[in-house]
Amino acid sequence: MMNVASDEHRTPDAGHRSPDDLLVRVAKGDEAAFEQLYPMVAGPVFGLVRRVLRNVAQSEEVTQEVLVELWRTASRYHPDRGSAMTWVLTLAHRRAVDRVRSVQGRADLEQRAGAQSADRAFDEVTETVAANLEREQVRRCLSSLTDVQRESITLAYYGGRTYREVADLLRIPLGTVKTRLRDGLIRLRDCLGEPR
Amino acid sequence: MSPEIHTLAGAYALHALNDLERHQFEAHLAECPDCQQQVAEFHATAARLAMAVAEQPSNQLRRRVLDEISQTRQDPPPVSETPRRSSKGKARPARRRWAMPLIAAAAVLVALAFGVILGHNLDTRRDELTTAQARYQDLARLLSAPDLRTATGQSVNGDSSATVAVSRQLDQGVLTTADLPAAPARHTYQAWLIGTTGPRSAGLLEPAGTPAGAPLLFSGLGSSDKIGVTVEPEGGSAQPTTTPFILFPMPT
Repeated sequence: MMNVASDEHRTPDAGHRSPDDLLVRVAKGDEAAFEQLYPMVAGPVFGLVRRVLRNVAQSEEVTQEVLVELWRTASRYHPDRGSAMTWVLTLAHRRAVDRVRSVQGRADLEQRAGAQSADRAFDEVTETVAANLEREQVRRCLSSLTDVQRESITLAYYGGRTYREVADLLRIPLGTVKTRLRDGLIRLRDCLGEPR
Repeated sequence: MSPEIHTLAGAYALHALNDLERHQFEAHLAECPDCQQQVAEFHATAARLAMAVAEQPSNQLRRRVLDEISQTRQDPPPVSETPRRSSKGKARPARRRWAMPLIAAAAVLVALAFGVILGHNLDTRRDELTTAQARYQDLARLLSAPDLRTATGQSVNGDSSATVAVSRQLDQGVLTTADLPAAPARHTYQAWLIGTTGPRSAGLLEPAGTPAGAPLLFSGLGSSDKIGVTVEPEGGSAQPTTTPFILFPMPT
């Protein structure tokens, strides 16, 4: 097996391959391509999963499952239907949410319910992440939302909550949460524009 | 289609729907290209939220992932849905390998459990929903049991296979099948837990109106050390009346 130095994520490969190209090669069983893809996806996957699960050991476990699933199911990826980053991060969020809604995950979640406000969830995020343009842009765009839109989205996405739980936590009607999630995402989409 | 369901696109893209609502929305999604486009855009937007919270995991994780992928066979491309022929009837201890098919099976169960109430207003039919959720929770609890063990075995002709996952702690298990043909007319498949005290029914597989491969939840493992599947007259039998065509050891 190829042995690539571990902290290579800032050094693009000589061919400067995009995650999309790499994932297409991974689908053909190319382990070297997976090793090149790893540093591009591992950080976002782990960061997201840890937002939802909190627990570091559980988050590493789920991150491992997601990355192995990425390897296993790479042939289902179609570059014309979206970017590799979107694909793997959608998978990662799904798996994190599955875990948090499992019986044990639910018990853990209940323990920390209530106390945590949506704004604090994002503030904690900003404390733990090195400043970067992506974070600044996301922060700016999130702050352009209404309070309810922003709180609904952060509770659902970073908190792994269902929209019914969001409605309970924010004490607003279900229908309002549905529309705020959608309208908030539309605003975010328009504000963020194309990825970097 | 009610315009109300369109508003679920945001909650769907953020995985904020429960299983029932998700299945309902997916049914709608299949026939709504605009919604598909919107969901794809929302997924891309959500991915940006994820990239903003990137955090490097430990180097040990990288090692573990690379080790595991070097031993993990990739799924074939989805176009060629050929039945997988894995190594003959051997019990496989690896848990994670089977976790995904089982979770997929769990999703099927949920779809079936919820199937009866699809199409009804979301805010009614509470008790049916509660029943379905209870069933799903049993399965979820089982699949997350710390002592979950799985084994798989093939049919005598090698055309179909069954996978069982059991937790001795919970005294429960789930059986899923793959590539099982429809049972003969007026007959059904029945699963059996077989041990020193003889065979005991684990339940009927493939109840009328459900696709083959629906997972069968059972409890009371007792002293059983094998699991088998037979063909029985409609409605099932108290004791097997035919020889099991799938028979393999329970995981230990």
